[in-house]
Amino acid sequence: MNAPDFYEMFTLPEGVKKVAVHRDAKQLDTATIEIQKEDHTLGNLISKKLLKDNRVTFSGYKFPHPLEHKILIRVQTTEEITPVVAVHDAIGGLISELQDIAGKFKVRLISSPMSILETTTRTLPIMHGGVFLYKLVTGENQINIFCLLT
Amino acid sequence: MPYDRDHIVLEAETVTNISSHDYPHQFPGDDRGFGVEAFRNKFNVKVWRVSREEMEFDLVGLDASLSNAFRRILLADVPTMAIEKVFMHYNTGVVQDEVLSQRLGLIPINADPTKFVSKSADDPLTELNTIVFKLDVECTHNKEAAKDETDPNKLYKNSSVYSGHLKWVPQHGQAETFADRPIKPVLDDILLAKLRPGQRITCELHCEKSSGRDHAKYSPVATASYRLLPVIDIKQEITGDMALKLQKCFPSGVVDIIEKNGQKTAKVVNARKDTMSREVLRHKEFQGLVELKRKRDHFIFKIESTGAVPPAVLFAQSVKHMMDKCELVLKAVSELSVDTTA
Repeated sequence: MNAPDFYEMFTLPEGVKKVAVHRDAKQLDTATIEIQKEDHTLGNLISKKLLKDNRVTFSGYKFPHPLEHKILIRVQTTEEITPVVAVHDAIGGLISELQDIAGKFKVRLISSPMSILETTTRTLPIMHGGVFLYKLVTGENQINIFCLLT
Repeated sequence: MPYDRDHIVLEAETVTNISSHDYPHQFPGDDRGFGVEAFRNKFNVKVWRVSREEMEFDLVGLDASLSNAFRRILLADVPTMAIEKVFMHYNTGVVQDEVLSQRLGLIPINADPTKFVSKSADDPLTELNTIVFKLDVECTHNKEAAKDETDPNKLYKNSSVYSGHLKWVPQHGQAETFADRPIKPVLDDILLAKLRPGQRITCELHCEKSSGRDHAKYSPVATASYRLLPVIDIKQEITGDMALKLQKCFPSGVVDIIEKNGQKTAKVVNARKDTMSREVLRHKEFQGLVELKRKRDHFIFKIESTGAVPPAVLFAQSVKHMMDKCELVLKAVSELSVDTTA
């Protein structure tokens, strides 16, 4: 009855920014990045990615309350960069990693022999979830499965 | 012995070396800083099994945070269609309205979620945000049943209500859009309720699009999980009866007995099959001879789909979803750095 609306979990209220920075008053090389409507999925990922940066000396995150849909990432850097730039670079790096993962997954799926595919697509092609999935029959019953991201 | 950065070690009572050290400033002379090129060279995928329901594949060379993000997204963020509203006209069976509605909600619906949009509370119903089903089942006596019949399935007609009884009612253009794959429950034999003669269930059901975050019924997977690749290290040659005993400590197919220098010798042939039961660590004679480990960056991923979306597609979608999330935050962070410099 007084349950919070489900959409509050992922819709940004009007006038609220997705990302805000709170600079540490005592340590100038440290900032807390507040990201709205995100949880452990992204918090853990970004903070772990930040640790891989040579110019980052500390990174950690918290998801302060289960009913507050936001995460706080605390970042401390060396003099070379600012915390905001560090986060920017970390996410940039993540995106290229993800592109690589999507690409390699697609390639391996294509090359997986049909013998390991038990019951797959009956009609070809099947458009499923923004992805084309179809099997291809080439010589000597060699059948491959294609999965294309659109 | 140099410190093993790449493995988690399983001991009889504890698991050690758990935290990842895959960061800079951890060991002198060993950088391990982030580099996209380094990731590309190291990262690999191997697909073991794919079917419409299930998929097993390996992700090698990535951090647990990324692997876990995929798992979390598969469970809670990839949307599907599920029955959200039930308009009950008749329900004279013994299963109460709310219990029946709950059971109906959990039926996986075979419809491509990307063809739909999610509906908020005050949105009008359209063919883009709602799928309508009708359920109308009445139980009657079967006149052809033998006199001394005791099996209710033969004695009555429609004594069991199955998901197959759901009839899709196409709205507007839905019939043409889904002509090649008519919308229906993934399975037709899910038991929903039992009836006796004179009892009847009539209701209209509305499916909506949402994600597992909203309710578990929207989760596209029965489960999505990963485990780390087991590694069995035999430090010293184990021969003779000891070798046979070692073989018995593992599931079949993990350790093989080979002939070496005229002696029966134990050899690990497929550590992947091991369940990491740690049985081998219970035996004193193997102390110091065998080490059980797990490879830190080798994830054996298993996706079990509910059947609405094939697992291979689900994983592709989860990567896409992750990318969208990152791009959204990246955009916001970029705006931020512009603000601070100004």
